[in-house]
Amino acid sequence: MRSSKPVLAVLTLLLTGLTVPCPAVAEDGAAAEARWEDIRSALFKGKTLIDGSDVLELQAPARAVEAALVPVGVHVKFPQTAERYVTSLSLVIDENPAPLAAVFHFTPDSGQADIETRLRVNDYTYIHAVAETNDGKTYVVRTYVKAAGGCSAPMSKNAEAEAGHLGEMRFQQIGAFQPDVPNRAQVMIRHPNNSGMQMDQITRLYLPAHYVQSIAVTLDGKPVLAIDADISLSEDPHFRFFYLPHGPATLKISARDNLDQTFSGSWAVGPAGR
Amino acid sequence: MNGKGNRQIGRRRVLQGLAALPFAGIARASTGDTPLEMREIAPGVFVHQAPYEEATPANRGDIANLGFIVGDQAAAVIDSGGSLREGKALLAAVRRVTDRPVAYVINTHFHPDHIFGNAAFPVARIVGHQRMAAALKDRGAYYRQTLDRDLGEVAAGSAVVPPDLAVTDSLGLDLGNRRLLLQAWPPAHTDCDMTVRDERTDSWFLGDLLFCRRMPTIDGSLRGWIARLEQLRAIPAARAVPGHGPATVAWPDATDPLLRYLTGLSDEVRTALKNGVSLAEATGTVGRDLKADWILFETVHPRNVAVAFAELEWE
Repeated sequence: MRSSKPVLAVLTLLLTGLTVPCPAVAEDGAAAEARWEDIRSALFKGKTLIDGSDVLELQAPARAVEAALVPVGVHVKFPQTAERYVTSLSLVIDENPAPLAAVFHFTPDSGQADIETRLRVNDYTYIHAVAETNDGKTYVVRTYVKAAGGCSAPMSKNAEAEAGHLGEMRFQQIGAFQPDVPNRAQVMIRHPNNSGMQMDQITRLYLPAHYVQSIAVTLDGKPVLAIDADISLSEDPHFRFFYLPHGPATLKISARDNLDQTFSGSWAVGPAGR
Repeated sequence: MNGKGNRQIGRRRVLQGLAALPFAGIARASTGDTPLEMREIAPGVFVHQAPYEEATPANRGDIANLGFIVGDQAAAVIDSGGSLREGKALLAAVRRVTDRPVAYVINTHFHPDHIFGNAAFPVARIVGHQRMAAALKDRGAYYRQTLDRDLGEVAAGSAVVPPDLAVTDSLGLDLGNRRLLLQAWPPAHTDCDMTVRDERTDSWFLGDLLFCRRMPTIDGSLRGWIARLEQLRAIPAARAVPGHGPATVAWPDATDPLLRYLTGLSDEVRTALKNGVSLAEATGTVGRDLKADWILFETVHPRNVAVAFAELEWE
C-alpha cells in the first residue's frame, strides 16, 4: 500500500495559504463552489470526478451537536473484491483550515471500504468524500454540515486526566466474529490531536500542533487499512472499519504522530472474541 | 492588579487591601445602567435569577444566576454575567444597596455567561479556581469570538479578564464581619468549579454544580460531577443558589432531578457503548426518556450524550 504522506502535507500547506477561511464564505453558494474548485484542482488534478451517488453514501449530521466531535461515515455500496475495489477514500472538509482531513487506503482484504470517524468542523461547510477505485475511476459525493469552532475550540476533556495515557489504544469487535465475511471493528487512540489553532489568549501564540499522522492496520501482516491523517481528526482519533478474516488471526495497529512518536497494539481476533 | 497565584489571605490583609481601594460608589451617578433585578434571599445576600434561555442580543448574555453579598467593609460579587453590559447592570444593582467597594468578583467557573461581566469591576480582585487562568488561556479567544456571534453589538467592550487570585483548595474571604468560604473542586461541570458559602446566613452558591429546571451542560467530567454531588449533598446548608434555576432552592433536595439526569445518562451511555452503538446513532437515541421537565433539553442533551460518550468509552 502506498503512502501519500508527503503529498498530503504539501497540499495542506498549499490550501491553507490559498483561501483565507472566513465565516461568511460558507453561506455564500458561489464562494463555496469556488472553494471546492480550488481544493479539487489541488487534490485531484487531472482527474474526472464522477457523481458518486450510486456508489457512495456520506453520513454526517446536518447540524453538529459538538463541533469538535462530528461523526462522519462513508458507506460504499459494493463489497471489496479482487475485481473491483476502492483503493482510497478522501474526506475533505472544505472550509476547514486544513481541508483534507484524512485519506483512507484499502485493499481487497478490507472486505468493505466503509469508514466512520470523528472530525473537527470549524465552520458551516460542505464535506466531500472522494473514492478512487482500482479501475481508475474517481467518485465524489458531498453533504453540508453546520458547525462552528471545532478546530479552535479546545475539547472539554480535562487535560490533566488525559496525561499519561498518550497513545493508549482500544480495539473492539463490533458484532460477532465471522470468518470469510467483512467484520466490523473499532479502534480508538488516545491522543490530544492538537490542531495547532488554539490560541493562547495572553501570548497570542498558538499551542503547538501535535496530532496523529498515520495509522496502519494489518491482519496477519497483510494490509487492511492505512490512514493518512491530519489535524481535522478529533481528539482521541476514532475509526470504525471492516476487515476480511479467513479464520482466527492477529490484527495489528500501528500509529505515528507528527513528533515521530509511535504507538502500536495487536489483538487476536477469532470466534472466541478477542 | 497583579495576582501572584495562590495565597490565603487573612482578615487583616483583606482590610489592609480595602483601605487602598478607591470607592467605586463614586461612580454611582455616572454609570447610567439600569440595575439588574435582584432578590434578597437572606440578609445581605442578593441573587439575580436569569431566564432559562441561550445567550441572545435581547438578553445580553443574561442567562446565569448572579449574586452579591454585602459585609461591613465591602461587597463580593458571585459571577459577573454574560457581557460587560450585564456586568455594569450588576454593579448598578450593587450600588442601589450599598456604597461599599466591590472588593472581589468570584467566578464559580470559566463559562462565558459567568465571566464576561468581570470587566465592569476594574478595581476588584477576580477570584477563581486555580486551573481557571489556564483554562481561559485556552478558551478565551474562542469565547470572545463566539460572544460576538451570539450578542452582536451588545458584546462590545466585553473582555476576558482572568482571575488574579487563585483558589487551590479553599479560601476564606472577609468582607468585614462576614466571612465567605470558597471551595475549589475536582472536575465535574467543568474542571474549574468553585462554590461560595456565606457563613453568616449559611447560604451556599453552588455555581453550575447545580442546575435546576434548565438543562445542565457537561464540560468537565460526568463521573466527577455525579461523585461531587453525592459528596456535597451530605454537607448541610440553609439554602442553595443554583447557577441556573430559581434564585434560591432547598438543599440538598434540589439536586435530585440533576442527579437523576446525570446518573441516567451515564447508565444509558454505558449500555450503548457495551452494545457497540456508534456516536452518530447515540446522539439521537440515548437518554430520550430523561427529558422530564428540563427546559432546553433538545438543544443541550444531544451534545451531553456526545461528551459522555467520549468520556465513558475509555472506562
